[in-house]
Amino acid sequence: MELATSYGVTNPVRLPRTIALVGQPNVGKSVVMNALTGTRAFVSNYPGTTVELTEGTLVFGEKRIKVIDTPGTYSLHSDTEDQRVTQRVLLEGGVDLIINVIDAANLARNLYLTLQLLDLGIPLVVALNQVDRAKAAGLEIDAKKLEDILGVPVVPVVATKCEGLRELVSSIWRGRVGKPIRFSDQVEEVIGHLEREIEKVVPEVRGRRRSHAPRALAIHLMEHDRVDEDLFEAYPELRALVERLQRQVGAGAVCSRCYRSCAFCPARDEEHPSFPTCLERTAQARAIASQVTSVRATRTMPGALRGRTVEDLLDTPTAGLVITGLTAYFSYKVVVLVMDLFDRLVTIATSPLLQWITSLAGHFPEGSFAGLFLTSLPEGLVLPFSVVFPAMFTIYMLMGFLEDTGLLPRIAVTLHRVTSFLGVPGQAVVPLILGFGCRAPAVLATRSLPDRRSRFIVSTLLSMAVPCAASLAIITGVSQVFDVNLLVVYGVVAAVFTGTGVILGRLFRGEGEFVLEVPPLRWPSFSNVWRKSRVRMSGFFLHVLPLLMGVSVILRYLVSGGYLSFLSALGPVTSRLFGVRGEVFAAVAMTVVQRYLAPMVLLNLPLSPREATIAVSMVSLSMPCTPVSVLLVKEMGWRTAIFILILALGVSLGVGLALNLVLP
Amino acid sequence: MWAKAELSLTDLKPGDTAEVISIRKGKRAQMRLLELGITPGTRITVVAAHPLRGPVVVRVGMLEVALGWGLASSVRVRRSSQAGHL
Ligand SMILES: Nc1nc2c(ncn2[C@@H]2O[C@H](COP(=O)(O)OP(=O)(O)OP(=O)(O)O)[C@@H](O)[C@H]2O)c(=O)[nH]1
Ligand SMILES: [Mg+2]
Repeated sequence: MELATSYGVTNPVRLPRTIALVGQPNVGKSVVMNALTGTRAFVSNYPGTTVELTEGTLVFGEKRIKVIDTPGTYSLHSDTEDQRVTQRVLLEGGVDLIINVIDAANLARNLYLTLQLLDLGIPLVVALNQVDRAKAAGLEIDAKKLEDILGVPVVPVVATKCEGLRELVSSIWRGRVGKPIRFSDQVEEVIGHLEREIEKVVPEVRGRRRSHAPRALAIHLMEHDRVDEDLFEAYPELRALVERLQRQVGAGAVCSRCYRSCAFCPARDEEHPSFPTCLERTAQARAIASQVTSVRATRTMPGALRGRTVEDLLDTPTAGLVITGLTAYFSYKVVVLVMDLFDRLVTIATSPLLQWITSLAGHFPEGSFAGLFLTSLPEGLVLPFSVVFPAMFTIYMLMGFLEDTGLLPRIAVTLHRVTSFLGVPGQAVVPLILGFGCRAPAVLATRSLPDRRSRFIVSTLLSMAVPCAASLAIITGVSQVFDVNLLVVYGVVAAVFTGTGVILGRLFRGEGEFVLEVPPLRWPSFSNVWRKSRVRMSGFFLHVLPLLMGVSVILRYLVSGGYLSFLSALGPVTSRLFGVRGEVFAAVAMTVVQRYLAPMVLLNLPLSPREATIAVSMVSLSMPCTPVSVLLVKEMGWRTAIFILILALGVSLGVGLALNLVLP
Repeated sequence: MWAKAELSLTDLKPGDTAEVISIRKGKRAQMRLLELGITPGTRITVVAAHPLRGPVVVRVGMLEVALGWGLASSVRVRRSSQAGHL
């Protein structure tokens, strides 16, 4: 109740129940979301940060309003998976109000989406964000005038400084449908025709929960050249209509000047004049932007000018290479340094405790559960804190800084030529780098890649050849115990990564074009990096620590009870083929659960350095863990997931065979 | 009429400013550029051109966009003197 009054609302009439935050990528939707609802949506300085829906609650007087943060979408006809998530939300209905977050510094391009949203017939409020950046560049935007032109509230906001958010919230109840733009007469004629057809087959559109204006559906049909299954799911009646129109087009009855979209036209891509609505909307968005923007006399604009020179400098190919190289080198150095430090500290800090535990274990009879539990406790407890925690935490902090600077897309541009050998565009480095933290969110992040083929290749590489922070740490830790040749292990990982990429890139050829928005450079905010790292580290306490402890106890039990002896019966075969004892295959199998658990199995075996090198290599290149497998099924389908699983197992065995032949 | 020579985006050097005339690629590619604000008539400034047929980075208004070499070479442009604001 206080909140509503403090927002300056005395009579909140007709409040929406569900609000969607919609806007182009990297404009600041997630910052607005966190400020409005207190959620912890990730904020990063690159397009494609948010790839799934986040829900939160805005308390507005006595009312609670559901707010949905959506993945950024350039337009309602963009076709990467993350952008389609947003389009689906709008198509499904159930959104009572859209807060369209736009970037004041890129007004013309952002208004393109705004104009599309106006067509939908859903009440709209525009949050004109990043006005600080626009101002720094000498751009002054007349929000009042924009409000008059669009017919919806426009609220200037600096989301990162929480400026204007109160006004934004209090304008929610003023949200309205606005004034859709008019296209040229020729285009309007086609829209009108389609609209009438749609009204015939979709009766009482407004009477239903899914309430899109027939005009919006008509334009949607014109702009989507693929057969849009999402649309047909929302409006099954349209399928027959489209099929009928397509037949008419095929007979040359309707489309004479190609004012139907490609879906209705047999003309070939290249010769197609196509998408008149899109071109006209671009022109109108530009016209509106220049009407409401005034450029201050370009005196010396210190901030903008300096920023611009730095960006120009950092975008040169040489700088790109230096940045990429330094980032890799520096990250490696920092991780090694911190791990080393923690290893010493934790060992010193816990040694009295561990001695006490060990002596305590001596009091219990050999083979009793309590004794087993106590003897396995040290490795289950020390390893996570001395090795895994520092590795995960350091990698997440570094990642957070990298994400916030805007260097990530610049690295992607620099490496595009390299990644194209793997058959994927440069932006694939974003999910691949995320994979060094945890592979599950990385697989989700592939949604922002332009085609299914790239998603498949990157997901395969992630599943097989990218070690997450926890695995990396455990592998390093266990390798020290056995005197493993880490150079061999990581050499093999790198070789398999490259080899798999090159082969898959060859097998599944595609002509995907590389287009990537490169965001402005920004200073990372420590609090944001810290917040992200904390959220990501929750995985350590929720999964990694309990699993490592539990598994180390269970393994001790299995080994000491001789339950793994059936595997040692395989010994003669496995040592001939792979140079390792049979029990190592328990470790390989363990990777299906979590890769970082596999080296724990090895820890319970008396391995020679050579044996251990082969074994560690085999588990380092192995199957996707359970969470990743589940995601693979969800994102790519059963068949692809099983293919990746089998391929990964094959590679793991192949690596064992090869190393056994090669290693002295 | 002395129409200024039509070039490809890959012919330009960093610092050059030009106006897009046409994009000779399929609808998908045209649409992706349109989403990023690049259509016939747009003023762009080349920021960087990566070697070995690497991407070309251009500035459109206050925004930077990287285009793969193949796509960049299909963008036909005409040199102009001044960058636009929008
Ligand atoms: N200067 C300035 N920066 C802002 C403002 N709002 C957001 N940012 C920055 O813009 C970047 C993107 O913010 P996000 O909230 O992640 O953007 P998003 O719209 O959710 O992006 P996607 O999830 O990729 O679609 C971050 O680096 C923010 O710090 C603002 O008002 N002013
Ligand atoms: Mg976001």
